[in-house]
Formats: sequence, structure tokens, C-alpha cells
Amino acid sequence: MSQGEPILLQDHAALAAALPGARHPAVAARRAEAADRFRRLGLPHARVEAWKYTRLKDLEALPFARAEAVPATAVPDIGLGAVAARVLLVNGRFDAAASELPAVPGLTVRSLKDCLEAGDAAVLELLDRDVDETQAPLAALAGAWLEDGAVLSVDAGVAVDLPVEVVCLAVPGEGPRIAFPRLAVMLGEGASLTLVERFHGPADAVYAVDAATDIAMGAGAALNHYVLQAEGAAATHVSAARCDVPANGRYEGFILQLGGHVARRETRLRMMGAGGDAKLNGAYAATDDAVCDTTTEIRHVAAETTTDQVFKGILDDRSRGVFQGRVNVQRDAQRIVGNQLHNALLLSRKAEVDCKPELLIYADDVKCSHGATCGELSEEEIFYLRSRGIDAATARSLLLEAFLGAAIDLIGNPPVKAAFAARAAEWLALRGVA
Amino acid sequence: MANGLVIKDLHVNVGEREILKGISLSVEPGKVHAIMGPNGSGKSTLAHVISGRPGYEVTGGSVEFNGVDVLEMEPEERAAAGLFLAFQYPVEIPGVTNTVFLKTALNAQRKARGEAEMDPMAFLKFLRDKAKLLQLRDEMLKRPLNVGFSGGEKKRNEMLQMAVLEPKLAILDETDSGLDIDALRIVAEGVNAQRSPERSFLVITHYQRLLDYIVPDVVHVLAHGRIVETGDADLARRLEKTGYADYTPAA
Ligand SMILES: Nc1ncnc2c1ncn2[C@@H]1O[C@H](COP(=O)(O)OP(=O)(O)O)[C@@H](O)[C@H]1O
Ligand SMILES: [Mg+2]
Repeated sequence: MSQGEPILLQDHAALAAALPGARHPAVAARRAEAADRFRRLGLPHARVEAWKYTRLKDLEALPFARAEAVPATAVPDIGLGAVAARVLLVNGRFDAAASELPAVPGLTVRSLKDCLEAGDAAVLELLDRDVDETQAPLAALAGAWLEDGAVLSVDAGVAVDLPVEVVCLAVPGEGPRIAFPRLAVMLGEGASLTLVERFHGPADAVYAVDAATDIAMGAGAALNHYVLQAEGAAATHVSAARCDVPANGRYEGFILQLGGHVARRETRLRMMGAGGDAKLNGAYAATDDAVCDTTTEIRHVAAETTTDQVFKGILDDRSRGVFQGRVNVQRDAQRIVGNQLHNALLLSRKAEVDCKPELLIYADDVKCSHGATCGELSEEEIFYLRSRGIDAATARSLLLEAFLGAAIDLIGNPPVKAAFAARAAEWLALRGVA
Repeated sequence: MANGLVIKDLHVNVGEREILKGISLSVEPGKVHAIMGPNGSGKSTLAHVISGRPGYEVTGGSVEFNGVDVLEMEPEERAAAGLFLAFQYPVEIPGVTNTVFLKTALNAQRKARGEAEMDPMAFLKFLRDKAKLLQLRDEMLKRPLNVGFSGGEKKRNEMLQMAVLEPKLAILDETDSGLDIDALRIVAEGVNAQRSPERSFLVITHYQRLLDYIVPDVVHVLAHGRIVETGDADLARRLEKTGYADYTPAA
């Protein structure tokens, strides 16, 4: 090990030689390049603008090692009902035996490992998608250890009716472990899919997840992309989704974040063609000293594209919420609509929220708005409910559920909406937030 | 002891300022009492103190309902004991539908009284029947509580809550203000339909108009934190002519 080699890259050169697809120069070079990038960047620090509000304290402080390949533990059910497929990634690795993979016409589910071994060019190209990598040290780290994950493809014109679930399960070992689940989604022209991505891990173990989802959509394709981040309370979670929304494409995203000690979900959308529409909504809640970060970046590249974002967060105890929402309208993106709203509710004097909306508009004929509020539960509303016989705790939890519900109601898929609403309600009840 | 609401020498402060300066008042079961008085005289303060709204300091006196000290109870306990306040300014609650709210409230009260919860289907029918009586459209039951309701709809919605919760004593705080004559009539009919030998009403109003429809047994005039006159329905009619100018603040 060279002097000053980051502990997160320990033995990288030797281990990378044994990773899937290492014999393909494209794959090997990608890992080596990513490792170099991580050596250069290091873990995010406060001087990096994109990471100003969120420090990965546990990753800095503890000797994290790559999570081992282990068998699956029990997968929490969220009551979605029937699914087209349920893919289980255990510590980032595709667990075919524990997954449910019935034959669905037009839907292909593969392990990323198999795709890497085969040197699949389309998959590699998708993983290489142009991102602002200088701001993304965690993407570099995950790239250095690129090993496995899931690849979903839907053939052109095929509508997969039932949701596909991808469950990222963390199974910690001795000492702090980090896993790198990777998901690639490819929708053909006019294809449609409902994808539920969820993250779970044990409540009390110190572990980390550094995940990424890359999505490619053909013209007119439609994706419902729902994310449940329900990591354990001592976990560090960083995940990023990237999607280019094509002409007449439709992206509906929802991010429910209820877990983690430090958690950050990034979503980067580029609106590439006229008629493209994206809705990106979410809700989050945090207690104790948790940090919950939602970062979005929407780039209107093409004219006549529409985006809408609504996020609601509840912060209790000493927890901190971070919302960074950037909407960038490029010069040619005329007649676009881009709306963004973030509302936070602080339940304790020590709770905090850092909200940074950013509108960068280079076109002149656009309709853009952003709004941000930060308030407390209304005593007036609580009294109104109590005056009708509802006890104080129930009144508070009704109001909190309603607050998050205003975002959750925007979920277009009814079973997912019900499952996410139930999950949020259960979380509020369990944590005694009310 | 079903002797209704008994208020004795009630003194209430907001901050340093005394708002109610010794109110005594008894509303027996089955009776309708009206409280009239100029703006700022303390009518809403009295209603809020009876229902347990935070922010008021009772510095003297007592409020009992059927022999139980109301001031010691939480607001939700007062509701379960049969007290109801129709708010002068009903509160909007986004995200909680009218139906869910009413079902939660009714079942909470029933549970507190040791009664069984109402079957959901039976509740829906019960609710629809009550709404029809108040000419509230079914669609409004599915809407978030009071959100986007007109002033008149909010007041009628208060009456719907009263009809569903079936209190023993209902306090109506200026339920008539801001209502046109048709809405006023609907509200009055709603109240009259609820009148019974067991149920009493404390109707707070600034104007006599409502009392043409809900004829009170007793009328009190509240001015500057004191009840300055008590009479029958004729007192309300007389006030309509003379106004409140006679009731100047005590020295
Ligand atoms: N929360 C409060 N803070 C300060 N002053 C108050 C508050 N509530 C009531 N008051 C004052 O008490 C007096 C009586 O108010 P209120 O009971 O609302 O009168 P009414 O309902 O008869 O118009 C008014 O002078 C009002 O300004
Ligand atoms: Mg008033």
C-alpha cells in the first residue's frame, strides 16, 4: 500500500484484478481511473460547494472496509402486493436465489456482474454517463469498486404493468462495512416501467451504502421511479440517480427518506427533448442527530419541457435536513416550466434545516418558480383537533402525517402511494415523533 | 349531577391584562342562552376558556359542567364530556379530510366515554345524512378540513361537526357572522333540529338577527368583561334598536 493511500481504497490495485470483467480493458481502465479520481478528491469536505451542508462524519472517522459477499437476511415487506420482479442486492451483490424473477414478456433482469464479465458495451456506456464528476467523490469511490448490481431492460413499446422492486439490503460484518449497489435501467422507445428502489439495513449496525442508479430512456418512454431509503439509524447512505428524459418522455420520481445517521439522495435529471415531463417529489423525516440530505439537479436542455418538484421534511430533536435544489435552464430551453417547492417542519428548537434552492436561467421565455418554507406545527390546528376530542398526541401525528401526506399523495401509483404512506405513518408512530 | 354549565365569578387574564372580570352564568340542560355584546368585550375569550384553549390564565372563579370542574380537564376531555365550541374562525387543516377528521374525533370521544367505535360504513351513512341536513355537498366531506371552503361553508361545517358529535352543550361563537340570509337560515335550522331537553346552547352573537331564528330562553349582555344585563328574548330586540352605546366601561 502506497503512502497516504485512502483506507477506502486499501489494496485496490490487487483486488481490482479479481473483480468481474477485469480482463476487459474498458472495465479495468474505468476502475483504475475512478480510483485515481477518488485519490484526488478524497471524501467530500466543506469547501466543496455541493457538500457544504453534509459531512460524511462516520466515513471520515472509522476504518470502513468493502462489505463481504454474504447470504441474504430477511427482507422487510412494505406491502406492495404483486410485483413483476423483486431483485435482491445483498451488500450490492445480485442474489438470484433470494430474488423473484418470473418471466415477464419484454422485461429482462440481469446481474451487473454478468454484464461486466461479458463486457456489455451498452451497459458500460450507461455507467459512464457524463456527470459533473469533480463534485462526486462517492461516485468515484463506487466506480473504483464497480462489481455488481442489477440491470433492468424493457423492450420498446412494452408496458410492464406491475412494479419491479430492487431491494438493496445491507448485511454488516465485523466492523464498519461499505457496499456499492449499482442499478442500470434501460427503457426502449415508448416502454413504461414502475421501479421501486428501496434500501434497508439493521437498526444498530454501523455501515455505509454508496449507491447509484443510471437510467436511459428511449423517446416517449415513461418511468415511475420510487425510492424508499429506510437504512438503519447508524448508517451512512449516499445514493445518486441520473436520468435523461427524452422527447415526450415522462419521469415521475418520489423519494421517501426515513433512515440513516447521515443520508443523502441525489437526483440529476436532464430534460433532453420537447414534450419531456418530470415530476420529482419526496418526503423525509429525521430524529436524534441524523442528517437527511435531498439534492436535486434539473437541467432543462431542450425547449418545451416541464418539471415540478415538491419536497416535505420533518426534523425532530437535533436532526438536520438539507435540501439543495438546482434548476438550470439552458439557453435554447425556451417555453419550459420548472417549479420547485420545499417545506420543512421543525419539531424541536435544536432541529435545523439548510435549504438552498438555485435557479440558473439562461433562456428568456420560461416559467420558473421556487418556494421554501420552514415552520413549526401550528398550535391553533392542534387545539382545533383537541377541541373535537382528539388527544394531543393523536392530533400531532395526524398533522404530521398530513404534512408528509401532501407530498406522498403526489405518487401516481396507488399501491406504492399506500405503501409509502403506511411506512411514513409507522415511522412517525415508532419514533414517537408526535 | 345534570345541572348543566355553571360559571361562578370567572376572572381571566391574557398576559397582564384582565379580560373577563367576574362572569357568573348558569345554562341548564335544554336551555338556549345568548350572549351579546360589542366587539372586544370578551365573548370569544369566555368561549375559549370553557373549551380549554391555551393562552388564557384563570385568576379566579370556577367553571363546572354537570358538577365536574372543567378547568382541570384537557380540551379533549372536555369534548368527550359533551362540550362543543363552534369556532368564530374555523381552522383550515390541509391533508386531513373532513371525513377522516370527524371519524377520528367521534371515535376518540366514544372511546373516552367507554363506548364502542362506530362501524365505518354506518359512520359514512350517518355523516352523509347529517351533511344533507346542512346542505353540504358530499364532495365537501372528502375535501381537506375547511381548506378552500367559503366563509359560509366553514360555518356550516362547524354545524356539521356539532351534528355528528352530538354534544351536551354547544357554544356557537358568532356562527352567524359573515353569513347571508339563506346560510343563516340553514345554520339556524341545524341548531333547532338539535334542540332537545338534554342539550343546551350558548349562542354568542353580535347581532340580533340570528336570534329571530334561534329563539333564546335567556339573553346576556357582555361588555368590558362583565355581564351587565340579563333578560329574555325581548332584550335582544331592544339592543337591535339601541345598540351597545349604553354600556360604557366601568370607571
Ligand atoms: N390572545 C390574546 N392576546 C391579546 N389580547 C387578547 C387575546 N385574546 C383576546 N384579547 C383581547 O381581549 C379582549 C376580548 O377579546 P375577545 O374575547 O376576542 O372579544 P369578542 O369576542 O367579544 O370580540 C380584546 O380586547 C382582545 O384584544
Ligand atoms: Mg369574538
